[in-house]
Amino acid sequence: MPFFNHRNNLIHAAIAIVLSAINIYIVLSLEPPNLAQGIFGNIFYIHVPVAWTAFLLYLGVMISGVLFLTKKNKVWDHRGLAFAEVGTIFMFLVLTTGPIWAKPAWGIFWPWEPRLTTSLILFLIFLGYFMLREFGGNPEQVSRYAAVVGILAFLDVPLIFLSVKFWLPEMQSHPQVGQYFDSANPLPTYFLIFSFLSLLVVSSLMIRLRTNILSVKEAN
Amino acid sequence: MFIFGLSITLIFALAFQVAPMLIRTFAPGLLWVVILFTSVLGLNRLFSLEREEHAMWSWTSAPVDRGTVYISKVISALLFVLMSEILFIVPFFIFLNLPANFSFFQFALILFLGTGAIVSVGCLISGITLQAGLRDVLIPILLFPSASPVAIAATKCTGSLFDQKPMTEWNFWLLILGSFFVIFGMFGYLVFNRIVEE
Amino acid sequence: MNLQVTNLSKSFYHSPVFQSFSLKMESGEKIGLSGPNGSGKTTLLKMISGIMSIDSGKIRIGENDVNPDEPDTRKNLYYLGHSVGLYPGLTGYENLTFISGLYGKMNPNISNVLIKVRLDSAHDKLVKFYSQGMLQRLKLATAIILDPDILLLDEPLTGLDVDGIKLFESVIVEWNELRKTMIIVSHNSDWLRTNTDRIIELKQC
Repeated sequence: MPFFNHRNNLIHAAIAIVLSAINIYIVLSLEPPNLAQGIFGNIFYIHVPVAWTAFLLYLGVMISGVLFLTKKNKVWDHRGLAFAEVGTIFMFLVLTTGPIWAKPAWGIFWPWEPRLTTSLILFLIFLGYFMLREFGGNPEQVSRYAAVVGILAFLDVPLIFLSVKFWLPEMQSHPQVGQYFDSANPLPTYFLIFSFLSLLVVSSLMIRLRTNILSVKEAN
Repeated sequence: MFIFGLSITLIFALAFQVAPMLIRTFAPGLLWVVILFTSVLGLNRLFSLEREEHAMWSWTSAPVDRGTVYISKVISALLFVLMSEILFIVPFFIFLNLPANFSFFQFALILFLGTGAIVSVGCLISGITLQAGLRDVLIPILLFPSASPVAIAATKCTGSLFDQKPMTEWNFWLLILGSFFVIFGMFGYLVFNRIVEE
Repeated sequence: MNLQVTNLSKSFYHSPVFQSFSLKMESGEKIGLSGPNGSGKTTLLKMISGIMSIDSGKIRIGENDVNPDEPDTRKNLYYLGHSVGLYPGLTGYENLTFISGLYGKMNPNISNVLIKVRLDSAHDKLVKFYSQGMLQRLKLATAIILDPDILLLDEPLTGLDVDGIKLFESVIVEWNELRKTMIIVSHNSDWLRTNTDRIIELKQC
């Protein structure tokens, strides 16, 4: 793949692989704060950083959309699509790891917790985004439409979050979440931050690769 | 749209006949499901006149602010959906045997803001899908998740009103509806230009 | 009013239609545009009229750059397309009233113009029942009422009978005397040679 012929990209990929390996090792070896949850407790160390990364990537879709509409540079359309695709993969992971963690922790697979529900709604909007990309009409028009949907989706986030947060007051963030941020043991917090940063490296590689593929396809 | 709303109301009445008391609990949500589905029908037809024979070229090439066209579409869609609501709400209350002992002004305010919020984002989505192949499918797929805060807030307002709670207890949800209406109305005004260009 | 196109680029379905296309027209000039199907004749007119976005480049009308966000830049031109571009559910009279209102033309003498283009008998007929020739006459009536400085005419003779063609040619003579700038698209090279100052042949990219 020509993308990996460039030294910088190879270095980026190597760093991503190393950080991911360290991530996986720590997730598997760190003790879960609540031993009763067993290994499932450590899924939280995947779930939270993946969620942070997913939201950041969707913010990237919005920023790319704004820049595409104002500057009319095709690169921003490619970046927007790349952010959307990678963001949706991460969001899918959020929606699968969330219930896997929730069942042993809270007793139910889907607790209608505000952040998880917001993630689900955003995921659905972006499924519509991809359908629009596929069936929306001629590609030049579709790029503009997709930019608008990308901006619309992220504009919706605060309204969705606030609505869901106060919708079912009994479904606030479960107190057990706090155990991961116990100040007496800062290790889980440091690990969450490390995991988030490593996922940023991985996702940025995926986005750069995808943007490159789209640009080469367009040029050909 | 009125007939469609009436038909859905009939289905709900038939489906919930085995547990009539449950209807009182679910009525606010059912009402907004009917309104959302009816809105989709209206939004599908919103730009149908412009699509025929490229009639929209008459104003896309004219010296008019295209954002104003979007606002006019929001107003006309809002009026049409509100008119349908006025027509099917009476049968809704009758078929589901719901009491109507609440302030009609407050109810009208909820309907206006909730419908306005749905229509503001819906007109934008309708414009986006103007040239799309699967237009009829894409509108609800994009609209329903985007309008989920409206569904939550409108149901909360309506439920509180039906329970005769004072407005101070649910004005937060009115604020959500109003904010949604304003934010997406302004956003639609700003980007409509980019949407209608070929 | 003069018209200038500079380094215009446009793609469709990832295929370039225009690559760094430039054109300069003096006020009152008449240009014929010809070329094979798919060479971008209609696309060029749509981009100048604001119906279609441009990928890059600039279009200047008089002293102003055409900007989709500034509606005033479109007030001095009219695009007569080969699609209908009118509301089929309205009558000819209603369409003209609507469009002249969009251009800020107060009290246009619509009835007289309909008589001029010989559509007075179809005054109250819905556009969807118009024949192709009647539609062209109605579009011509729109152009006469709006009286713009720049006219973009896409296959204006399509569907017109012999009388219709003569009517159209007489209107072009009137516009010529008023020094209106015109771009006329036609597949009839002989007609273009007789009725325009120069012809530009577009080729497919």
